[in-house]
Amino acid sequence: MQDQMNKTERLGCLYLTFLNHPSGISFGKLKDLLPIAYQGEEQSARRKFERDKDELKLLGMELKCLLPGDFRDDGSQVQDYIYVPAEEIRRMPDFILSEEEATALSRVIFSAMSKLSDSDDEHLILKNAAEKILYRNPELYFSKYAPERNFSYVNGSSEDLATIGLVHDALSKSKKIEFSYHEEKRIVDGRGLISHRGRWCLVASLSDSDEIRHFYIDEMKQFKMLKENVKKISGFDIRNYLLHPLAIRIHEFRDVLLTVSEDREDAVSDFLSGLPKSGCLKKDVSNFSFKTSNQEALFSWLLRNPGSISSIGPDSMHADYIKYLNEIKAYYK
Amino acid sequence: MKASSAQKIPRLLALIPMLHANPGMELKKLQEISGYENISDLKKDISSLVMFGIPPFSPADYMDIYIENERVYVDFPQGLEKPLLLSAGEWQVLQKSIAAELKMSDGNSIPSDIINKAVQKLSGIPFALENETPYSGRKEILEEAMKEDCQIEFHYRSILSREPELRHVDPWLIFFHGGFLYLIGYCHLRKNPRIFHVERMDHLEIVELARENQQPENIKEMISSSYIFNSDSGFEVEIAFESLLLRAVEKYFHVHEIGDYHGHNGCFLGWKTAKCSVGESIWFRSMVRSFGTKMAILSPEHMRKSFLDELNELPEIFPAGEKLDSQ
Repeated sequence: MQDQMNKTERLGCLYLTFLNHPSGISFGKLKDLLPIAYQGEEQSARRKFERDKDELKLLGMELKCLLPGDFRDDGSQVQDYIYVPAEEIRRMPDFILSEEEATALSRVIFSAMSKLSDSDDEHLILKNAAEKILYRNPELYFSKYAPERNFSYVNGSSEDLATIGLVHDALSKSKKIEFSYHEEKRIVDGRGLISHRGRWCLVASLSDSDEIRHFYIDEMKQFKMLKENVKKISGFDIRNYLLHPLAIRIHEFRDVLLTVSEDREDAVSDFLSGLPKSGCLKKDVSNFSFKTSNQEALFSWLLRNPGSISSIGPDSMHADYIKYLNEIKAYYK
Repeated sequence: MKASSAQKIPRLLALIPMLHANPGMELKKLQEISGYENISDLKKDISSLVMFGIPPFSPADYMDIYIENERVYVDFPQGLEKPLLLSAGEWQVLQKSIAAELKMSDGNSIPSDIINKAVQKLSGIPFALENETPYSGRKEILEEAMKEDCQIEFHYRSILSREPELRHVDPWLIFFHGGFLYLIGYCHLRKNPRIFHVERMDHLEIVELARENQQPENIKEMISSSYIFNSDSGFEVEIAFESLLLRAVEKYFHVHEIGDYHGHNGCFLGWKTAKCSVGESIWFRSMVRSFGTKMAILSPEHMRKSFLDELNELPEIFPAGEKLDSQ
């Protein structure tokens, strides 16, 4: 019979024990469960456990101590001094990727890895992500057909890391979220995430009005997941809330009628394609009618594409466009 | 130098879900995935996993992992049937990699809707990848042309020309930068490679002719030396802008100094200023114009004058319903 454990075995068993006891274990219980690991005098055993805790942290499992009367994350109350994983241990959802989907992700990951050196932190992060994502598709590991790409346009920010994880956590647990945004405190019900131009964006309903808004995660401060659950809504489809410039909620929706100049229909069609469900109604070959909550985006596009349209309505929209143009001209007089 | 326990254990445990989902994986493949240099070290460490278990350590409580005929099997994964959720860092880097992949295409790009579906499955929450800019129609045509090795034709409105010109082009690569989509290809009219703004293409069509000029080997150098990426030489322009645009300004322009606006124009109270290096003035002014009322050129004077002249030369837009006779 084994009368002692070497360190690797002890840490491996400790890791698996806490993985399978997420509600926590007291040190006394741990000694009973792992008698060979923590033999001898109480103080000596405790010191050994404290060292093991430090090692577990390096394995990615930080433990925290809860006191009698404290509450666990699931709301249950603790009766004794116990140790629990500081971060809830959660597994990937049940998913099966189609061959196309797995191949696509494999190509993305290994194309990115091919541009990094092995010692780069991001290389290791991608490798770990690949093991998780492709665990059912190891044949796609080290995809050989990832094309060589030497451009990297996206600016990532390490400051966003913690917040993205917290937002994702709150969304998957359907909990309300509180944060400061442009110096204003917000409490929202998160509905989904959009990746827009290299930035994460939270799509959420405002708690006090149910209105759907977009919040850039890199502009959130003092983020907190609350205990309250979000209000359920039915039929939410994130594709209806994509960040088309004309659909960003700057003001109430306003009607727009555009008359397209001859030969410019392609450009205008392309610009208006991708408008969410509220969408764009084409009246005839050269007229487009739609709603926008960001008329400045329309005016900005008109400045970049002069001659695309010959008229804009209704009269109030035309007046706003002229005012916009004159405001810019005034900067140069 | 041998890895410590803290380094080895996470590596080994991270592989358990994969081994459990793929019984009989070849040891050689596992070595390739795990990064072990020495297959005998891998075998030794796999063997040590059999001592990992959970209390009360009955036979069924130990990880049952074994090697048979150079293949690896895991029968009792002890809670590691599925991988752990992607960490915040993994999500961030994955998103960055996806965005970088979608920013460039030579006709063999990954359709974004496939990536969308895949990521949605991984995350378990509503998730969507946005197209970088609303050019999806023309982007699809360009990708199709490149995939089929065909030429394209389109009417092109360059900043300099008043009237659109018909162009025949062998398309090579499309890429995003600064919120705009560009095509680089061989222009049969100019008999040279050219970079085109996709936004300025009209009546884009695929021509049933094979490309005569294939993508050159130095295409990356051609792009990186163009005015789009190489505007750090040239002259200095100072701009004023709303402070919320700071991130966009740093991303799209070659900025070497940022400060607060201290001038006398009351319209710019609370704004920031930036000094930028500009290599291509027409492109720079079109970028400033795209920011509308939220940005203005402060100096030099010739840039301010050109900007105002271009605004005054914009074709008039009439109220809807007004007769075209009045034009």
